[in-house]
Amino acid sequence: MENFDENIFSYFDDNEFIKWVTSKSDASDAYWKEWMQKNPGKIKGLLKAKQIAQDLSKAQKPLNTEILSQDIWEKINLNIEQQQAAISLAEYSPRKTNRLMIAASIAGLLLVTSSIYYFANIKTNRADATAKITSNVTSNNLNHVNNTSESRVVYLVDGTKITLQPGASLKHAVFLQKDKREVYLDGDAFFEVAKDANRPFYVYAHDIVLRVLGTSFNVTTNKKNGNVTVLVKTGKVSVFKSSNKNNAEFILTPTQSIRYTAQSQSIVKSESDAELEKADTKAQHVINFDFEETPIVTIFSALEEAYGIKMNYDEKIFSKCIITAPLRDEPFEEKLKIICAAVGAKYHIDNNEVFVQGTACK
Amino acid sequence: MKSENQLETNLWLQFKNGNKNAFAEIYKIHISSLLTYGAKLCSDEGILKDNIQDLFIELWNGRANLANVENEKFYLIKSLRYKLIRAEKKRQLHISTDSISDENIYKRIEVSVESEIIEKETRNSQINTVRKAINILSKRQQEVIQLRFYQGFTNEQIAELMQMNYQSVSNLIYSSLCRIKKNLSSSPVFATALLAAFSFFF
Repeated sequence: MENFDENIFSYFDDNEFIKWVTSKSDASDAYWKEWMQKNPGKIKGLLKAKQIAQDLSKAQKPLNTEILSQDIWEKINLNIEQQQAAISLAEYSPRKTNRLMIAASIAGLLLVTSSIYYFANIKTNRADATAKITSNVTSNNLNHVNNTSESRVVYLVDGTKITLQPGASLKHAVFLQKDKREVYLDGDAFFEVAKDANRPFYVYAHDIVLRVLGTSFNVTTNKKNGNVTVLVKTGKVSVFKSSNKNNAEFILTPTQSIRYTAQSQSIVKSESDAELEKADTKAQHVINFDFEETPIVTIFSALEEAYGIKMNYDEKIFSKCIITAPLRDEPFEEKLKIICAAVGAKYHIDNNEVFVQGTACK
Repeated sequence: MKSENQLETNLWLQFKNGNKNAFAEIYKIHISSLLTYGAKLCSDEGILKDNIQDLFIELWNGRANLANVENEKFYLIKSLRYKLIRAEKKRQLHISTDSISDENIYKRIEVSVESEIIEKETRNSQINTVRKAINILSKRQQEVIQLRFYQGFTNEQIAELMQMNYQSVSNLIYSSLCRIKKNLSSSPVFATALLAAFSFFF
């Protein structure tokens, strides 16, 4: 009398049985139906076991979870929203912006000077201020080619800046709504990748793949022999062979470099302070996002050109909107938010195009 | 079952990429299990709510660094268990500095959230009788019964959660069932109207 039925317990010891009685599943139902057909003599025991198990399960549901559940979610939601509000407040409050701007300018200056320092391979310095970055807005695939004789900066929507050396080209799909950031490089370029822990940034250079989260580094590729050199300035860069993307060959830290030789498919890693010091170059062409008393329509077309993202808006409505927006290295969408906020406009992104809607400025 | 799992995996990935709707969906799917389980471990509704809240806020804030979990529910239940036991130990430290074992924690919970709510529910239902028979088990027995029959975890998962070996889980379930059976047979209501309904225990 004291002991529980061993036969019924044998079902309770079976994970498949527990799965069957605790969750709805067609596969499980089918399995036990077949089992019953094969074991007609055991059906009674099985169903008894099922009923006990279900009663034991039902006996576990004393809480009115609905109200509690809603209550807890509201608190979670509030907490998350407060965090987000705190972040955007820090970004957008005008006072803080001013201070940030100064700090950012100084940081920017350092960045530019140090970038210059690292470009070892530029020979010509001919100023060509009117030259534009070659980009095409027409398709989702963007192709930036530097046909000029001086280095050119390419801006990506995530805030990444890439300095293309003469002759270099960069291809990528618009990753405005993608969960990966991938670019294909031919030639030499310096990368300053914006941090985004959720979306690793991949550089494909011949047989080499680089994976980074947010860092700066220089890549040199040789079109003729397929050799690749990578030199890291800040952060970490994982180096893969494109033939084996699962295992990183090397992880590079600042001042480390690798040299990939295509013919032997070998990668050699080295410390390279000496190479870094040989830098001699002039400032690159940098797009100025510091808009002062500028028609918003002009800003939109500047963004369109810099990022290669099609901007859709009604020129008539925005024709009288003139704003001052001291923008810098913010990601594309941050810039868009700031500009739209200034005139009370709204934007949405669809199929990698931006649509701005608002009312006319007085 | 498979498609359900795939759906969950998908949600988990979307949530990891910062999709708040996916996060809300994950919450909706699992909150009932978490509350029901938490009520077994924690006598204080306020503490339970706080810990579930913290669990989800930490999940959201740390989403970028989360691994892909094989079984979301198991992951959440395990995290909640860890949190509640720690919260309970912390609370006990304020009361005394005696050595505290898990068993002590279970014992000191006398009037639990669930028992209050049970009273509000239909008293004379058959399920209620079973519930009462379960509620006079040791806390560990109650936990194992819930994990097996309500949460539907495998014995391996329960072993990992409760930090026991596999065979002990099976033994604990068996001894718990014996106790339930005994409790039911000594229940006064049992002898009359409910005899038929629970005959399967004999």
